[in-house]
This record gives sequence, structure tokens and C-alpha cells, in this order.
Amino acid sequence: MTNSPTAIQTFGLSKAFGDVLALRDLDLEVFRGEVFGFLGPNGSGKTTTIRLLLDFIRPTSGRAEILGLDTRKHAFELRRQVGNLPGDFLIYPQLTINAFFRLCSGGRPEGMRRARDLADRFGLDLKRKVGTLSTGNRQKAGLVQALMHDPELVILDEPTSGLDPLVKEEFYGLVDEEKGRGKTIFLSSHVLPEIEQICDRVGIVREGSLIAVEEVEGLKRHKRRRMAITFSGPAEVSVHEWQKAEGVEVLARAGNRVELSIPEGSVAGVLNILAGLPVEDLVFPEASLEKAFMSLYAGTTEEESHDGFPGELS
Amino acid sequence: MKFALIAVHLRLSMYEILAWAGGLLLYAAAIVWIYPMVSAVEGMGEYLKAMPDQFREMAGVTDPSHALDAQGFFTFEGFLSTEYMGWFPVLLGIYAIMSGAGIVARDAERGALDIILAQPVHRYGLLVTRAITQIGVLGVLTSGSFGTLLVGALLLDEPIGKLNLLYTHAVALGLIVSLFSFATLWSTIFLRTSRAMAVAGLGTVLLYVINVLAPSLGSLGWLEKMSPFAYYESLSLLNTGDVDPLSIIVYLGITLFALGAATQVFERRDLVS
Repeated sequence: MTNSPTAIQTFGLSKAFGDVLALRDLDLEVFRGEVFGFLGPNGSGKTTTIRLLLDFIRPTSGRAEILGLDTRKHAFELRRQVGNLPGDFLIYPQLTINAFFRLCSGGRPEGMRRARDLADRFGLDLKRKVGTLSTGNRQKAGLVQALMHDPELVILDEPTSGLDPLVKEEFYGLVDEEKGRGKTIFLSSHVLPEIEQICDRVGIVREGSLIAVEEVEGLKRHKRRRMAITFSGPAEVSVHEWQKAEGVEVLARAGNRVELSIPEGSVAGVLNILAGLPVEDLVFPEASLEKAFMSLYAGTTEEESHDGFPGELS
Repeated sequence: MKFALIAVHLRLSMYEILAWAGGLLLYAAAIVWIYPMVSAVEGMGEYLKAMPDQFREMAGVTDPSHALDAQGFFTFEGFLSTEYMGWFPVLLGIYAIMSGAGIVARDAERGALDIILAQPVHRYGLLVTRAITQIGVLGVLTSGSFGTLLVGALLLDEPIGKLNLLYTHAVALGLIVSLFSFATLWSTIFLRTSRAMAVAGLGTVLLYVINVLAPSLGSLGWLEKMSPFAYYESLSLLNTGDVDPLSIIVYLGITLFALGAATQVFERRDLVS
């Protein structure tokens, strides 16, 4: 391991599968000790990036470093320092969880000790066979194997997929602890609230290209959310009046219903306007990360993606 | 890590190993058991001589007189070669091809490679560890066959040359391991068990057919030497114990080349199935 301040650094990393360019010229820097969220819709290149970093596939051009070491030349050494949870985690169904952890521990007792501690924490029964586990429990076993070596860098592909809310909270707590111990977490996810809760910075990848890297706090400032209001009676509020709340845009008006696009920090202004009005129903979900970022970085307007209130990237 | 890989490989293959071991041992025991009945039947020599050359080639009896005694009855060696040792590398070769074809492809299909190769193990380390373990399994199965036949011969009080029987099994194992290595190479190329098994199986059948038919093809008889089966003469080995050094060179050469190529392919390729 080197003293490089970066946990992950890629230099023009590209990968083509036949004619399909899955990743193009990725220049990404993830610093040590941070929790980095890697976001994008399905097929955007997240998993390709992770597989390149782990040396499962080889770049068409460019290169990557982990902890200051070239991922191809030092693949073996890096495996001691990197924990990995694949997106579609599968392993031999005939093995007990204990035997699976023993396989992953490489005979090192400290690995097994930590695995047992983590398994206790996640409520995993070590005697159960992997094939009998629910999706959530299998995911927990995958998380334990990713963390059991106490790696410097943990790469997690959709880590909370299939986990129930309580275990998700446990996982978020674990990520916090690992971060507190100076470890770096690189995780891909679809879920914006999760990213907001645990990540320091995010990178957005779309159609194989990195379109943005930003701190989560910065992301929140940019983020616009939609609000749908239904009035119980006539409520004549002009576009001009709505716009008194800073940055608010009227997306649609039909009968007693209006839909607004509201930037972060303007919610109070909208609520002030609504205070004297006969509001029957109000829907104000978490913003879709995809839409927020598309409007910010890809030039897609909120109106163009005006098709409901999705909570996750598709 | 390597010990854990070996333990898991054996654990996951346990039932198929036991099934093949049981089947082979029963077959060997049955052959020993029926020999006294067959050896007393008159006219077996005529029957053997009446067989088409190709059929005798398949059973490893190129010269029927080598399988018969002075009275025209089957010798123990002749019967073993015709009914068992001639087929042994074919039978165990099927298992060798099945296991070789899945050696890394099965894990790629399961998605388990992503977990295993995220641990501190080289790709070639994984492949070589698995291959050596499986060659060990094939060795144990071959030893089981040797032991069963040896005990059977002692029980029947048949004076078979122990070393001859050992050498015959050893050369058969060489052929079986070369078939396993051939299938392993295809496993790394395709990372799909069924495809690797199909190509390795088809190639092996082709080589076997060449071995059987080539001697009858006149000027194309030299083709026989292209088949690894041509270097395994069970009857000659059982009778004389003379191991043709060329057979060792051929089997070792095929094994080293195929496993070396498999390692290179596996080391360099993208792990996507």
C-alpha cells in the first residue's frame, strides 16, 4: 500500500464490448476516507467501472489506480486491501454461511473473527446454507464478506438491494463507522435518499460518461422537487404569485390542481402562499436524482420529464 | 486460500465423485466376478476373431491372439482389456471432460467468480489449484480401479502382473488427464460449461473415431497417430508392462500445452460469461 491520498483514480478509462462503448474516458478521483456514491441508471456504466477497478475486465484504453497502485499490475496485492460486494451476489448454495466465510477468509483467523462479529450484528445464522437464504440475508452475507478483511477500500454495487429498512439503518451505521476508521467506501446506488444519508460526494455516470462529480451538500442545493397541490375549491393563484417564492416554476395547471417545481430553500415561501388557500391534498415526494441531475447537467428540463414522481433511478 | 479452494471444490464435487467412483468400482468388480464364467466358455476366441477390426480396436485388442491362451480361451489380461481397460479411459474421460468443462465456467455462470477473485488469489492460482485438485480426484478414481482389479485378481487367484496392471492404469490416467486439460482449455475460452463440454466432447469423439477408423483407411492410416487414444494399448500394457515413452511424451505434452494455454487465456480475458 502507498501513501497516495487518493483511494481510486482513473485516467481516461474506457471499455468497449464489441461495438458498444460501455464506458468512455472516465477520469475519476475518490479520496481516502470518503464515502463516494456512484450513481446512474441501469446500463450507464457503473458496474463496468467497478469491474474494471477490480480487474475482472480489462480496459480498452486508459488505466486505473487504487490506493496508488495500478489495478492491473498490482491486482493481487490490491485484493488484500479491497472488499467487494458484486451487484448480483451469488455463491455456492450448498455451502453454509460459515464455510463461505472460511473460503473468503483465506484461512486467516482474524478475518473469521470479524466475519462472526459482523454476522452477529446482522443477525445471520452461520449454520444456514447459502441456498436457503432470502435475498436480504444473502445480501447481508455478501456485505460481511466484503468487510471481513477490514479492507482500506470497500466497493459495493447496490449494497442495500433487498435489505429491510432496519438492516439498511444498520448498514448505514456500519458505513459511518468504517468512515470514522479512515476507510474509503465506493458504492453504486439508484437510491437518492440513501446517497444523501451516507455519501460525502457523488459521481453521476450516464451512457458511459461521467457527467458530474459533486459534494452531496452541493447536490442538495441544486436539487429541485415537484409539488402537486389539489385545492378543495377555487384558488386563483397566478403564475406571478407562485413565483414570489424564489425559483418556483409552475409546471401544470388544470382545474383545481397545480404542479410546481421548487428549488431547495423555497419550500417555506410556497407554504406561505398556501397558508390562506383551501388545500385538499398535497404531494411532495423526494426528488428523483436522475431528474435532478438531468435538469442540472444534461439540459433536460423538468417539463420534459414530467411523468410522475419516481423515487429511484430507472 | 488455496486450501480453502481445494476444500470447497471437493465438497461441491463430492456427490459426483462418489457416483463415478461407485460406478467404476462396481463395473470393475463385475468384470472380475464374471471372468471365471466367461473363461470357461468355449468358442470365445472364435467370437473375438470374428469381430470387425474396428470393434476390436475400440476394445484395445488389435491382435486377438494376445488376448487368448493356447487353448483359445480368454486370458485374464485379454478379458480385462476387452471388457474393461479398453473402455476405462473412455468412461473416466467422460467425467474428466465434464469436470474440465466446468472448472471455471461453472463459477462464471453462477456469478461466484466475482467473489472468489475478489479474494487474494491470482487467476492462474485459482485455475491451477482447481485443475490439480481435479487431476488428484481422477488419480484417486484410477487408483480405486487398480485396487479393485488387483484384489479381484488375488481373490480369483489369477496371476496378473501387478506392475503391468499399474502401468496400464498409469498410461490410462495420462490419457484421461490430457482429455481433462483439453476440456479445461475450452472452459476458459467460453466461460460456459455447456459450450465447453460440447466442443471438448465433440473433439474427443472425433479423435476417438479417428483412432478406430484410421487403421482401415489405407494411405490415411497415419491419421491414427493424431489421436491420443492411439498411444494407449491396454492389452499390450497388461501383457508386457512395456510403456511406450512416446505415450508419456504425448500425454504430458497435451496436458502441459492445454493447461498452459488455459492459464494464459484465463489470465488475459474479460470475466464476462
